[in-house]
Amino acid sequence: MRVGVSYTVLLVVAWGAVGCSGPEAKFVTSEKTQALIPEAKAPIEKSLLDNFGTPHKLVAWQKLPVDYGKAEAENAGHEKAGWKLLNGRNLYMRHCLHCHGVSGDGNGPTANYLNPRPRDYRLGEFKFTSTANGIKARSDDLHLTLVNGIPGTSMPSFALLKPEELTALVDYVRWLAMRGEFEKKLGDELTADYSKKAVTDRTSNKEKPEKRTDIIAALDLLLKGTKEAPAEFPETIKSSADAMVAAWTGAEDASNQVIPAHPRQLPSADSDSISRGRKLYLSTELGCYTCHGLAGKGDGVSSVNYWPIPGSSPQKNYPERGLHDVWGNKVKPRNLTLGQYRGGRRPVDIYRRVFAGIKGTQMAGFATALNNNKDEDGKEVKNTDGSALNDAQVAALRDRKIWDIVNYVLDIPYQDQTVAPIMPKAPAAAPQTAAK
Amino acid sequence: MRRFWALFFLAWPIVAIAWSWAAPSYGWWFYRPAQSPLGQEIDNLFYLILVIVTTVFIGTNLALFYVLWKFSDDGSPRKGSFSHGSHILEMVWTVTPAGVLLFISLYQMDVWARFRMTKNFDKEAVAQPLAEITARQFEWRIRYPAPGRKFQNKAEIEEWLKRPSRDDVYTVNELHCPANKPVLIHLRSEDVLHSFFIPDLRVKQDAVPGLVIPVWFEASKADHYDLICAELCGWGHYKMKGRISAESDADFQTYKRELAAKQAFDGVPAKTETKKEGEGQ
Repeated sequence: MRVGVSYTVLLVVAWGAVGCSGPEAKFVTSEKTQALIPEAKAPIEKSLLDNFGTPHKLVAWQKLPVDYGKAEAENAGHEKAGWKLLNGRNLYMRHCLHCHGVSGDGNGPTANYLNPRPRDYRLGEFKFTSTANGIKARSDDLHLTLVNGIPGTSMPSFALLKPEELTALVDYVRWLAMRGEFEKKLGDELTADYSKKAVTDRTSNKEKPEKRTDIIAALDLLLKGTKEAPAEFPETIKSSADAMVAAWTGAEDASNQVIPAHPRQLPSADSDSISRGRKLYLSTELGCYTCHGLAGKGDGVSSVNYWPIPGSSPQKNYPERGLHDVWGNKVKPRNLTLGQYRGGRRPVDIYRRVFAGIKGTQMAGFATALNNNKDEDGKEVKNTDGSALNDAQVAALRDRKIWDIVNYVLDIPYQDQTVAPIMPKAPAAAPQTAAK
Repeated sequence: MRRFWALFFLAWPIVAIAWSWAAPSYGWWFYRPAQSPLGQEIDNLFYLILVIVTTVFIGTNLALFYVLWKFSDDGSPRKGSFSHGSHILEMVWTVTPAGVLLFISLYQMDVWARFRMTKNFDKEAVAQPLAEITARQFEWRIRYPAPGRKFQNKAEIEEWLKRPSRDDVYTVNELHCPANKPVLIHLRSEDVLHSFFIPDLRVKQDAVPGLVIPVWFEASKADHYDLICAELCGWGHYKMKGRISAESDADFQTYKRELAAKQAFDGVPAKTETKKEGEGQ
């Protein structure tokens, strides 16, 4: 009996000591920041803490184009400024964290079991956007992804959350993306000179070894400045933030959204559209087939080639065959025969994929490549009187060509897959196999 | 102390019965009444079984109380007698429950057959299926036939289940259907076992990878009903919820046409007004 009592007491004490909470939520620094020497890492961490806070104590940096939620005396729960960010955080912790991680690094507890991996927001890049090449994602784009999910991946739909919950989540995700991007920008400034590796290289340089104390002194000058010369780093912080704010604000500008000028002609109304689209798909200029394969099965030659790691010096290839995105994950070109469209199945979604590409991947935008007076056969298109097309006509021709491709792509799932695809006849000067 | 345990073991069944009696009227751990005709019959089966088990529960607890009361140790040197091995007793408590179970299993067959046997399904619902629903971790992907499409025969439906049609309409997690008539969906799973569960309509059917399972239901009135996954399907099981919106036939047709229009959106703003981009995909 006494043994039982003491065991029970022990159990209760142990339970009280351990509790039933999980690990504490905290923002972790990126690998890039972690690779810096401690003296260089400290200012980045401080700047992040000052401007973004911790998961428990968020800081609403007014500079950022994020709707933090204004104080509303009338609305219960909304009395304090920043309520929206807090709501967003709470929802994020419930619905998103286990894949996308507390810091939005795509490294939550379940991330390792998913293929494709969850998005790491910290590059400030999102794949499926309605904006032009090189432009950030709009809030609407993230909203659409939340509502529809991403078919073919582990991102489910959150269509049944309340509208205000969705907007709070979108803003919180944008805020996390900005936080990560800000960290990256600051890290980029210091990596070249003050990463652990760079400092080791500099101190052990055979020809001109530097002293570690000198390096630290130079870093100190950069961070703190002197009486005569103001420090550069605070200026870097400011300019990085300004550039980031401009980019995210710009994305919301309607002029940066890809909106077709000419409506789509349905294949039923324009019966040649699909075959024209097929020719474009198989043309060497666009080279869609190099990745997506002749029949659209996503088995093009690029998907089995070795590809170099961008920015590696000396140049190194990825150890695995196949295409990789900017996050370093292996990606497969979409198998177009499945009728599964990650960025949405509306014609406008596919138009945007062709026009502006998929951000962060080798799916390039073809807006420029298609902006010419050539038709699907590569022949020059002229007006009936023999004059060259003007700019507006070229733009109209481009839209028609993109819609042709869209119509063809949307038709692929319904084609007879048992028939071997045949390449159109190569032009007289046989081009080399293009690797786009 | 002598009678304490007898009273103690009597008190708990009384609390349990009082609690269960009060539960429905206070909304404790109780569904709202079934919102479908078949669901009401399922509820009736439930109540029948509830009456049977309550009777048995009261009977056994009274017997337990009686034994505890009568034979509790009063200090008198009485000799115990044992009934172990009594043939009559064994027969009685084997045959009686078996009879009750047999009764229940026969009595519910009609409801079961109407819910599960395809030959008893509503002909119109079978001929014009509402949608194909594909469960996957962790959402319900829905594919409707094109607005206005009428399937001519069974072969056409089978073909439609094998390969999507060009004009199919897709959505996710929000299933609309006409109220007040039986509708049929074809249920599949893309990955693991899920279970299509609409508690208010008393419909539950596992989704099994590799199988296409027809499920019918009928919502008695235009309303929203929760659709949840009733099979632990992974870490995100809890978030796998959908919504059934039962509405008038006309509203349903309008909804489907609007969804199809959103899906065909080519991004070109209408000339007269600025169109807000749809969310259907």
